[in-house]
Amino acid sequence: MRRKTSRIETLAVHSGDRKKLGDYVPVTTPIYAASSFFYERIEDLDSVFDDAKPGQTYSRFGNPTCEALEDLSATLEGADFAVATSSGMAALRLALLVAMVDRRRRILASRDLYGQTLSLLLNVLEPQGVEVFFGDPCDIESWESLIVEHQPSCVLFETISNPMLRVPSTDRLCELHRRNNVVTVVDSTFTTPVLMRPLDLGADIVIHSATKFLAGHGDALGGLLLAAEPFRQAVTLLNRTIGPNLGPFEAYITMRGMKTLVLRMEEQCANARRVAARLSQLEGVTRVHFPGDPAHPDHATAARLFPEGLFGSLISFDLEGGKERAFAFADTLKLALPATSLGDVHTMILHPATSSHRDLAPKRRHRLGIGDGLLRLSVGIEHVEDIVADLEQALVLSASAAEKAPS
Amino acid sequence: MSHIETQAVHAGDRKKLGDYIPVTTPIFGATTFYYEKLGQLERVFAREVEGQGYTRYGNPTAAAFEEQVAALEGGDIAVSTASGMAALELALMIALTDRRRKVVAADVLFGQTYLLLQHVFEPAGVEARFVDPCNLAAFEALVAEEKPGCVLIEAVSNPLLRVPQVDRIAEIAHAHGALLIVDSTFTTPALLRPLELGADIVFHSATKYLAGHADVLGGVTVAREEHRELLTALVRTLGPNLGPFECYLAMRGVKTLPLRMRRQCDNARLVAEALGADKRVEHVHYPGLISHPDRETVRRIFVDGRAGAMVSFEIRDAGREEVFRYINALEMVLRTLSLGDVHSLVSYPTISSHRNLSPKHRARLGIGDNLLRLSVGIEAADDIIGDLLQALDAV
Repeated sequence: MRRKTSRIETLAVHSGDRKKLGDYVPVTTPIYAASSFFYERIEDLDSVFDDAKPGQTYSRFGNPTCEALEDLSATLEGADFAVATSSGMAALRLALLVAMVDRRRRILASRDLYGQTLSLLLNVLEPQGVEVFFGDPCDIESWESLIVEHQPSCVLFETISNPMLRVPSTDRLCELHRRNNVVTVVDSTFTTPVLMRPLDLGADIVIHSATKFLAGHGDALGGLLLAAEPFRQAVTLLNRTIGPNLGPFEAYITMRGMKTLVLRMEEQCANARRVAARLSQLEGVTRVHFPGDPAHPDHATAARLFPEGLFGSLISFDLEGGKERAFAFADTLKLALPATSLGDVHTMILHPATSSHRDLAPKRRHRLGIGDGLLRLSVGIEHVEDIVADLEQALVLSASAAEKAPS
Repeated sequence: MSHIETQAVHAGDRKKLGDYIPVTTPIFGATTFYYEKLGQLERVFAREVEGQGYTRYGNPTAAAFEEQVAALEGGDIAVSTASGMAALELALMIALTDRRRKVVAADVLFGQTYLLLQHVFEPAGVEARFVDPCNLAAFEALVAEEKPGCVLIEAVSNPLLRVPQVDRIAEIAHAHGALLIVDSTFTTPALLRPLELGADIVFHSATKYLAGHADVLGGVTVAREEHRELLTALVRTLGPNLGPFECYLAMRGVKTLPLRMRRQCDNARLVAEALGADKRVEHVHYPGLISHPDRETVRRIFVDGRAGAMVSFEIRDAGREEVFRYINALEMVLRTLSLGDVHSLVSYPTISSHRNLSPKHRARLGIGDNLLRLSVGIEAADDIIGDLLQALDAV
């Protein structure tokens, strides 16, 4: 169900739910824990298997709770269908497999990606005979020449890159890929449909780690794959066979989280703008990476692609004093949690060099700009003054701790 | 904790959290975990100390379930997954890493297992060859010829319930440099411990007997120490994780596994005998019957010679229409997919688990249009038999 006339705030609260079950209609979809479903007559099961009639058979093939979440996300993204998976990585892997079905097994990927995504490309897909090339999607000319040179069947990039927060021109890239008959796979985890709808811009497959902004409360691991009709058959077949399904309990709380996605995202983005502005004035912070900063190399792209005033809620910044200072800083934070995720209602801080990107060679990390003093902040929905005050006190305390420590 | 009944109730739980110890492991919904000092988290990520960082890398509820299954299987490491198919994929990926990308598999397999080999592994350059694992001579000849990286069999085949000799197959596989993967979904550690018989990797659809209550979709892969690093790395990257709510339910199910399995096997034997005595039934496939070709294997390698709780049978002179009439006339036995649940259920392989195979392929495997697959539950045996026989009147 896609009510195109409604706004995203309304769709987020109403889509997916309200299926009639018997005489009554539950306001939210029940948690269907059942692994299998049956009918009064076996002929009906046979028809459902034949797709001659809608229905449920076995939870790996489809589950009503998961389908409610899938309907909701497809509506928000403007997709023809969605598939919920056990993690964002499972969604990404499914997307890449689908993009290469009956095509050349060759991928052009952004060099600036989440660490485990690089690991998937280099440690899992490459040994299976997939050729992987890397480039910089923010440099469209060099990206185009790589496409012409390597003729990949699909490309992969993040709408806002992790952790350097670069913003490629998704619309221009999609157009370029279409002209060259290349499938565009986009990781939109950092943007969500509140900031951007990549399918509207020409992307073929969008994936999310739903663990982050979509679920948003730090209590559900999950992923989503969204695409247009032509990919439905391949996605369905591979999903049924590989079985990376999201559980119905997790599907329920993810959907519950998505109802407040718009509110949270707007608040988080607004908070992030103020935090970024403040951080750049503070002593000890040598550089702030935030797409909302007019000095950010992709500021114009972000302003063009995202709704007015929203630039995401992630900020990366470099501290003088390297890893030691960064650790001291994280340890003296009182409000922000030093935990490995992002997009939650609470503010979180992460040291990419020792967590999300620890498996990369130090040389590769440095080439990407991931220094030992780099921290990635996911700004939450707490009061912005409290977030700023926490960062300020930690900067002061960590500076004195670093002075005391023998260098 | 040497007995399975005791392991099932105690293994995995009782981790001390703070001052108190919960009798069962809490459902840890948290996606992430943190420490007072960031350096502690780094040591966890570096795997210098035990701990939790991020739920895709590990979750305490999942770890409890995994420890429980590893204990029951006699394995060093278990990993829980979103489905049994996800567990199988992991098993194949580990077994093929740095080895010949070739699989020799049993010729009768769960339908989706064929599709996985065909649609996921073949495009990745993995060649699969099929052979009857109950014919050891033919099996050995093919393994010797192909020199595969791994061999894949089901401990009891689906749906014809043939029982290969896991120990002999392991010897053959190892003699030719291959690893052995066993799908032990139909047996569970209550009937068979494939690792003790020489298998290298065991996996389950935990949806079936392990969880046992038709309310969890899940899988688990069990392996030895030498595969720990690879298995852990693949799970981190592919993220096929089972959710903590599902892990809790699955673990709760495993606690009664030995009891359920014993009752279900006892019931199944009675059902098989009753069906076999009815003239309207053409043939009963049950590995516990004297007439079954693998009766001796069951006696030799299954715990107490129990022959499982699956019974397949063919209705005399029945086609699709008659079978539909039969299934619709059942009053208690559920007409649904899946198996291994506390309730009895019947499925029709022609339209469900094996519907994606061509009729010719099905016929070659011996899966006729008059074949039904029964998963016997823990109800009173008389009630199950009564329902199965009364429905024959409708044919």
